[in-house]
Amino acid sequence: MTIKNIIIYISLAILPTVSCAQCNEYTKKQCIPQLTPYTFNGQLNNTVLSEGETAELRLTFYKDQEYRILVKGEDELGKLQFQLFDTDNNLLYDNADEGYTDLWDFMVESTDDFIVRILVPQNKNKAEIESGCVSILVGFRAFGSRTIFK
Amino acid sequence: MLKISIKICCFILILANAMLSYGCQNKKQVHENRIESSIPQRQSVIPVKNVFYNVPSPIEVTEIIKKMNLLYQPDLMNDVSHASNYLSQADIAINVGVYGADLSYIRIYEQFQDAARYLAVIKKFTRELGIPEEQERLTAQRVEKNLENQDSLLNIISDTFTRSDSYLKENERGETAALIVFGGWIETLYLATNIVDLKNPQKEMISLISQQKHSVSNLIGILNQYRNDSKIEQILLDLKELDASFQEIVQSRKAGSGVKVKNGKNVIGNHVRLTASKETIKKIQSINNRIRAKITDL
Repeated sequence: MTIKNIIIYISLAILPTVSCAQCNEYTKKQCIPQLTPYTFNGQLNNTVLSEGETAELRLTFYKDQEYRILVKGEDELGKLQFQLFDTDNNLLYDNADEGYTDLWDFMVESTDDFIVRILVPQNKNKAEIESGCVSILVGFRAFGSRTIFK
Repeated sequence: MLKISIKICCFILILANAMLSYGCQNKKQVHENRIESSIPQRQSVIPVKNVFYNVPSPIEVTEIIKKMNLLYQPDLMNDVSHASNYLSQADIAINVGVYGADLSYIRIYEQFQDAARYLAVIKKFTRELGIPEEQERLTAQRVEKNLENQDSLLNIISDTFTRSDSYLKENERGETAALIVFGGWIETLYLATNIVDLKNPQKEMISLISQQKHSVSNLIGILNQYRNDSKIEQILLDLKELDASFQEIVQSRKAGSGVKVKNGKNVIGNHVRLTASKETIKKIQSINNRIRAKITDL
């Protein structure tokens, strides 16, 4: 057993801990600031996803509030697709219709439960499967509010 | 012999690696029942790797209460003098959430002296949860500078809870983060159900209480990930009882009209109506009061 092999094994062992921390750092530094001027709802939703994988966020949106959904992934994942469904699985919004934008601002006419579904597209041009941190964040503000938070 | 010991150690580390891969963040364990959702017109069944559940933050719900122009009722809040009763990490975490909800309530009435007292307790508790000291110093400086400003206090509350959530999840303490969320949700519902005058109920408050029907199941979803923890297991039993009373609220949903643009804003034209009897609201109040007493009256 060489020193080199020992170092490789130990690196493999600590990799997920590093990945968790890096994913959080990515979310805090690259993603949360993009919710401004909305107030972040305080709940970090992030994970490492690979091409072809899906994640969901289930939550309530209130009437008379304005919301921002932000879905952002590390560059190697390319453009992410996200969709908004009601709990009867009716598709309400698909960012594919807006050039795979990473954020969408909206309101709802009635308070209800919703599902945000995120799909990491598969890149058929690459031989390797890419993985990266994906953040799904929600910000809110009272309808008509124009406060800028510094 | 040394080579074999090193190989065994490395094998154990790699095994830990594989286990940690499932433990990152607050992702739901899908190894038991793989969640499958259907997207009409797109694909028949899509396996979902991670499911996240969020509940409305106390900041958001108290913003809605603010619009109702009700009197400030400080006696409803959990008194800061009770803080010395919370000794375990779990009780501290839950009451960080409770006091955070109270602080959100205080903010909408611009009671900045009360705000300072509640923020001091929250700071003490986050320190006891091991959340790094420098965040505390920063918060204290910002509070002193911005105490007479409602929007800046909002920022301070939001930042405090974001940083706590992030730190705890980063350090594999998702169940502690979940307990904070639980404490905040219970206290917010407690405030709403005890502010409302059940003899002459305000329509908007009844509506707000009824709407928590949507979020209680998501709160159960958050805590379910940590159901092996005995404290959380007990909490789940209480929440399921509360959920059962929320299920008495009748929900009717009409087909929506999709997304419209109104005054430059995207609006989802959904139609949901909730109908709750006074008896159901009283039952919800009673069960939630009991849960709240369990977590605050120690």
